[in-house]
Amino acid sequence: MTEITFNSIEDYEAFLREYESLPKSERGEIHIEERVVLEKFDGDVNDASPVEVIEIVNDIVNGEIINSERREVKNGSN
Amino acid sequence: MGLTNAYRDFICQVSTSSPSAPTLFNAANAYVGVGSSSATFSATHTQLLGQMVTGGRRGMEQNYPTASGNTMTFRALFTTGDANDQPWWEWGVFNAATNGTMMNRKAETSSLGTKTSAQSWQMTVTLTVTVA
Repeated sequence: MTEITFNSIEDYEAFLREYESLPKSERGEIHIEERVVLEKFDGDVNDASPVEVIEIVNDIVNGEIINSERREVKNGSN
Repeated sequence: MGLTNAYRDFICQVSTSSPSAPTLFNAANAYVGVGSSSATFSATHTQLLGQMVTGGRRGMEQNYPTASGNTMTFRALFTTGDANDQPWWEWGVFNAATNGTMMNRKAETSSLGTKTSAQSWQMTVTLTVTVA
């Protein structure tokens, strides 16, 4: 990873303009893996097992979702 | 889903404490919010578009959030009185119980369901960020 230091806001803005002018294939990548798990319980949580679980995993590169998977389990079945 | 411009600015602010140290997404101040809008995400969004009013934003469960290397995990519990009777289409992570900075927003392609007062829903969000 390359560390870049800017001397002024103007330098930073100039860098952003140049970066945004590049084809996406030539830009550095920010990759985010987002995983959300939603567990649904009857009544209060306590020690009960969830009656339904939804799990969604997204792979996001430079702000665009390139892969998304959703899995739902109800009452112990897929 | 994506990180918001507001969170981009937050990173600059927390890195420099300039113009002041921002409110962190920590155990005292982090919240998960849910809403009823399915509108496509834009990085310019600063709040959920259909933020549920009653119990639509919940604080952290015990021992959350956590951070390990480049991974953050947030967990919130929506109890029987929270966020009921509207479909859950969108969610995000915040640093305040109202308003504040929205780290990210995700509008699902199909609803997560409509919660009723007969249920409690627990949401765990894990974000792993890699720069290459």
